[in-house]
Amino acid sequence: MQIKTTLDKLDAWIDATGRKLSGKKMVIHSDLVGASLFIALSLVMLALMPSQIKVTEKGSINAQTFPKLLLQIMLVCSVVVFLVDIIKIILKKPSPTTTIDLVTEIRALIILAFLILYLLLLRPLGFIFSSIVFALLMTAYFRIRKVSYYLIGVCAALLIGVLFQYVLHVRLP
Amino acid sequence: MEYLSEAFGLLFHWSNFIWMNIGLLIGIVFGAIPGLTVILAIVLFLPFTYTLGPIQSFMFLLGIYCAGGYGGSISAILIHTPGTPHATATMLDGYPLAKRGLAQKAMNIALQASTFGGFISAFSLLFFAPQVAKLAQKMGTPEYFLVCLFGLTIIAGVSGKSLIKGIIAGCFGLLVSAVGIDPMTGSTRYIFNNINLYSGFDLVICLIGLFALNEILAKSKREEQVHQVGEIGKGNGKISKAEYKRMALPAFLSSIIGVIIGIIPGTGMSMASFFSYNMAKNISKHPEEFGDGSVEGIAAAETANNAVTGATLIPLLTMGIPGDGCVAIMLGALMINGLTPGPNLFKEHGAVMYAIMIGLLFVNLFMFIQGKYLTRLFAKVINVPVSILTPIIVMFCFAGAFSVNASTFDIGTTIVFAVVSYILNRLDFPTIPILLGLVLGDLTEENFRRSLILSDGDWGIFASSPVCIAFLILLAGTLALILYGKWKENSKKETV
Repeated sequence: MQIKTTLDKLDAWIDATGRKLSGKKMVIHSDLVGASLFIALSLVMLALMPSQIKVTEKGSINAQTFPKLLLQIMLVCSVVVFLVDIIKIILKKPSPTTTIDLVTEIRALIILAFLILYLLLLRPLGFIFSSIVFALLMTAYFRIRKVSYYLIGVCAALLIGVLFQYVLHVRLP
Repeated sequence: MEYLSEAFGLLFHWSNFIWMNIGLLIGIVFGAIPGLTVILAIVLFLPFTYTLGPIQSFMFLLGIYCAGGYGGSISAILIHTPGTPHATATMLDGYPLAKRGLAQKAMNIALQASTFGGFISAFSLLFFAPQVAKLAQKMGTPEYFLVCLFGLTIIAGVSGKSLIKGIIAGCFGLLVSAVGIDPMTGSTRYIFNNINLYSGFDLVICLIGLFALNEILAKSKREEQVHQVGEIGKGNGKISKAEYKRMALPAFLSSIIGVIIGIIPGTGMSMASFFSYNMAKNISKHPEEFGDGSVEGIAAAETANNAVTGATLIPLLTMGIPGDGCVAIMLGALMINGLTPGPNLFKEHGAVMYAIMIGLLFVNLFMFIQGKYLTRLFAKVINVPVSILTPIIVMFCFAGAFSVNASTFDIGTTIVFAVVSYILNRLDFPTIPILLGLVLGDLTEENFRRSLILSDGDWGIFASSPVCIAFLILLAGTLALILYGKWKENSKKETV
């Protein structure tokens, strides 16, 4: 009974927090941001190329040729996307946007945290036990009250572990 | 022909048929559940093929691929939600029929049309692939590079809203594939002194992150998926002679459309089903029924999307160019078994190739049998809650990623790729070109560099033969078409 009350209180708190955050949205120019990321990536990779791809052979065609060409194409295309979007914004023409919803992104971050935790638990606990922990966490994340759902998660962890290790003979942590 | 008897011997082994049927079961289930995709199923179950032979692996994966094409129609008909994007056209007429209590009939049409399309596609693979392979054998390195470029460009053009963003994504995929030891010179590239990166990023690891874990992050909504429970009803769903007569021509034409679209890299089931649906509407004597339960509409859409399945394998097996994302992943299964797709594949492993191609006919046959007898079971699967599916999918992802190199570093890599994919999706950058870049990276680079070494750095080598020039014209023509299509789309939007 006490557990139920605690869970109800927790649910109410999560709902209230969700309601508070639900209106918080941010609109970004997706092309502008995406192009900036790729411009930065290509510039960094081009700058790192001499130290990361050492060329020993003679001749103009070497291990750097292909990645350099790709990075140059990526850079040129990204600059084009960036400039086109800037021009659209200046001329007040419609430009592609993405709405960042704070609640959605927090949810994705929570799942990401669970994934990282699962990864960190793999070595000390092994595949089956860390999978059980992950399954329980995920089911709790979905705010499930039915015990059967938690049991299904535990059984799935056991089954997948056994299937990979003993039936398919695939190694697991 | 000399390989046929050997191929039958290789194919007719009970294990091939067991794996085929397991694949079919998985494919229908993943296709039927909205939110789960065929590509996700193939990524998740690819590690299962590590300990299997090439024929077993391919029967298993083709089972998933073909059945996924049909499975999407179950939820489209029963709950007005397409299980897979290509089932959207099926939904337009399937659901209205279901609402009239004729769900069983709609599902029978979908199953029979899917099987028919699948058979036509399997036969086209069987007859055309060896001929294309013979032609491909005559190609040199510059021609090969142009084929890769052609595949990558079309995919970049059609997989997103913007061609230029597709090219950026494709370059990113090619760049990722270049990480590790350069196979031609032995130099290391972008490994940052990390021993785990010496052999580069494994395709499966990247795929699990890009297409499976990414879905988990993207679908993090807590709300339970509550579907309206679809009712199949008690009718036997018998299709009348008159209905068969009405469906014959659209189904036949749709199968041809599906095969042609399947051969062109970067297209796929969705394009084939909508194209055929429109064609069926245009030639129908009852166009007013479309959208309100037309049997021709369901037959056309379902025939076309399954007619794509075998055809997509033609460029894959003969030139190593995957027709769509799903078969790009299957390429991994071939490579694991030491079969490098390309013109020599039919020469060196002819019997195995024929066994796979004949096997595709049986995949469609068993898909029909499973669909006929297990439909009611599949209809129940639609309502499996997300809260149960999510942890199971992640467990499969982690087990699969670890099994590649027995390394937790690889699992970390999948998480990184999932985050990258999540961000790119939010910014409207397509991820399919990344997949194709990863798949075609080695082949593209090798042929590009070899050509330039042969010509002493002269780029003129890429226009040095009639085949090269033909490919360049084809490439330019296709690019012009893609750009014209996008321009038309944008002008339409601006007028609206």
